[in-house]
Amino acid sequence: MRDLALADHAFLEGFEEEHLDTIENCVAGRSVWKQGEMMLLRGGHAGTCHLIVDGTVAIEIRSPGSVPTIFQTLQAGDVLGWSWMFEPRLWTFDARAVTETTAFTLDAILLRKAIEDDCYFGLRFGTRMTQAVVNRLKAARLQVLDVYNR
Amino acid sequence: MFTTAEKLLTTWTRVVATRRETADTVTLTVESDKPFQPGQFDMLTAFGIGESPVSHSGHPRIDGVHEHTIRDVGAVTKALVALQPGDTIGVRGPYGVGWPMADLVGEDIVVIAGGIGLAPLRPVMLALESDPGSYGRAVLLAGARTPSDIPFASDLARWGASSAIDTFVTVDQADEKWEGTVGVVTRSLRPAQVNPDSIALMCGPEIMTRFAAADLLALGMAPDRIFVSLERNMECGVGLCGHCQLGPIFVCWQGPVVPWTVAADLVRVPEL
Amino acid sequence: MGTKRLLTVELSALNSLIDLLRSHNYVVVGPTLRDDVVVLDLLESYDEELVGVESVSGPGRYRTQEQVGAIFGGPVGPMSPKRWMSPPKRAAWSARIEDGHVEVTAAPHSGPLAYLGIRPCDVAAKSIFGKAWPGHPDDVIIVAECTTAGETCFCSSMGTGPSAGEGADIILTELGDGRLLVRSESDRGAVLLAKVDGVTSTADEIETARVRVEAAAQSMGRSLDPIAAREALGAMPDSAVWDSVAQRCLACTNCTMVCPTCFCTSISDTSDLAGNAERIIRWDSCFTPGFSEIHGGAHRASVAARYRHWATHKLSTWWDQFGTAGCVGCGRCITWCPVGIDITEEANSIIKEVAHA
Repeated sequence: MRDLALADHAFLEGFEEEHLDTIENCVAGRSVWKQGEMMLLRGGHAGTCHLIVDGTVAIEIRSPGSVPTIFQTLQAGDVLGWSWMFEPRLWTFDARAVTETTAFTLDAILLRKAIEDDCYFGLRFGTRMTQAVVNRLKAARLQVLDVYNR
Repeated sequence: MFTTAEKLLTTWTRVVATRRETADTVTLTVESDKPFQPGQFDMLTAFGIGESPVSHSGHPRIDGVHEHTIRDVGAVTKALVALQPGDTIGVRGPYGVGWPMADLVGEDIVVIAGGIGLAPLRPVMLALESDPGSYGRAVLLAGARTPSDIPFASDLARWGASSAIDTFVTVDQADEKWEGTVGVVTRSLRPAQVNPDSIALMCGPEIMTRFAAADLLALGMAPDRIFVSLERNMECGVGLCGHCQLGPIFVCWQGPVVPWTVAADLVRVPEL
Repeated sequence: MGTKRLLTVELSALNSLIDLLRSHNYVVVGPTLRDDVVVLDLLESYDEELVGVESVSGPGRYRTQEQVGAIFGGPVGPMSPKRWMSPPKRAAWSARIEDGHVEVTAAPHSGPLAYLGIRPCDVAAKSIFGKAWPGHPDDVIIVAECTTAGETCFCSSMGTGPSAGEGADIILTELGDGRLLVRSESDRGAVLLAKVDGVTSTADEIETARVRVEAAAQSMGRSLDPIAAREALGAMPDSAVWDSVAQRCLACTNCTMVCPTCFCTSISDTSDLAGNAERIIRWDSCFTPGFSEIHGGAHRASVAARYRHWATHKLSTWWDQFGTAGCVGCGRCITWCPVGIDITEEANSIIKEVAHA
């Protein structure tokens, strides 16, 4: 029996049963981060992909001598982390749990193997991931436009 | 002969209170008992400096005062935000088509406001807050540049704590003290679980409302149930000066609030 | 309506009309020669100089030359009734502030005007312009039908001339022999004509007048189909024509200043150090970059967008707003365009573009 909550995760909405099984097999565990805890660190090895179940996550960047700037927050239903897909598989930004956060943590090595073994699954997962990336790119473009200041 | 010029006569009244919303934005409370519809605007005059269109941002009830929220972006608005209690201010209005208040009764409502775009929507929120039983579920998505640029912070805190209005505030950029959402304002549409049969009211930068409309349509909302308040150069408020024309409409009197069925074509063409 | 009057009169009857109107406290405005230009100005008698002067126009060109011709023929001058209905600069009100108390003085109302010898296109334009800035309800209009057309005229296709349409009290038509056919079109016109010396017009004179006006209509080299223009321009905001016009357009605003229906104004307040302020209404033009400014910049930054806005408003969206075209075919925008941009040519290009799409 699969963990029902994984199949219910918004990021996996519409996935076929066998693909959900494939993802189930990649789950390394449920992770919990306390409020304020760093979840991913820029430059660190990108070996995981997180499907957020609960909490708020800040993606931020820190420059010397100033407080971190948050440019995106993630919440339940969002995916966190795609650097594991590409060389050199290092995180680009920091991620911090703004509130206590729970996520399904997928093992990147298993996930990459599943994608290579089953091209159709790879297409489905890759397309879903691309959609998330596109949404965030769109958001980032709008944010960089600084529309409220126009 | 020049009777039309009389439409430009203003009523002189007094500022009774001021409230700073953000670094560049002030809410003036002025003496006036003319009824208005949420979404309508007045032309406010700083004596000898000039006139500027400013939305009504206060409760639509008739209580002898109006509220107007002004962002300092030019010579006239700079003079208006500098006014102090007791100062003289010129007021004429109200002008324009407001939000479809009668249509909102019994309906779920989603309000999307960007920056000072919350000002013309605040009368709607205040009306909903005083009479929640008359409306369905109300959702407010408010966006701002940074946490310090959020206007009406005390209202948002009150609405956020109340059960009458589901309030989601999103900023473009924040520091680590901010515990809310960072991203684009429509980011909260999914977590808010907005009912696609809601009536949507939007006001904010045009780029924001265009993207918000696309997200609402993608959600399955009908374009004639999405309303947007448009912004153009309004100098006279009464369809005479020509400045606010956008295609076939005068934004000052056929807007500023129009349904998306009207707005879509008008905001599609660059520089129309 | 009282008895409709139809008379043949000498030119001197114009002075009788002017005297009559002035005796009824009307300010009379009509064509007169000033600095070699036919303008609309205050008249105490008709301008005899006009008898020996002919106006000629072309794209970017206007001249008056010494030649005996029609008094009320050829192209119109740069001034239209809008100059008198809403002057280029005037105060809406003035005010004085003392201890926070404001004393306002509204601009005085002006009395009715009598327009003598304005053309049919300008009568149509007066009615269109009046939707925004109305004239006085008691204005008297004595229209002169055109017996010759200017090179830039296209009123015939727009349905506003050269024969007189609605809105006149009296219609004048030159017979070409120094006499005029005059007809009353309203009670007010009939009352005025009752006091003017003339003889009952013969059938030949009536026919002569008709033929002369018809000849002016036939001689117009430019035309525009207002209905086709409405549809085509409304449908073609993305046409390449706009960019092509923008290559030539200087955004000088001349077309909007001479246009008899362009009603856009700017409203600004001025003040002095003594506590006085004034609200000033000035003619404005959609060709200036500041016209569409909202904080952050001009909405119509490109000249192409500004020309598109002007032409589309005149020929298309005006219908949506006021139920008529905003163009009467007077040709002034062609004549006074320093580079000779021709609205009929540009609109007809777009009509063709739509037809071939």
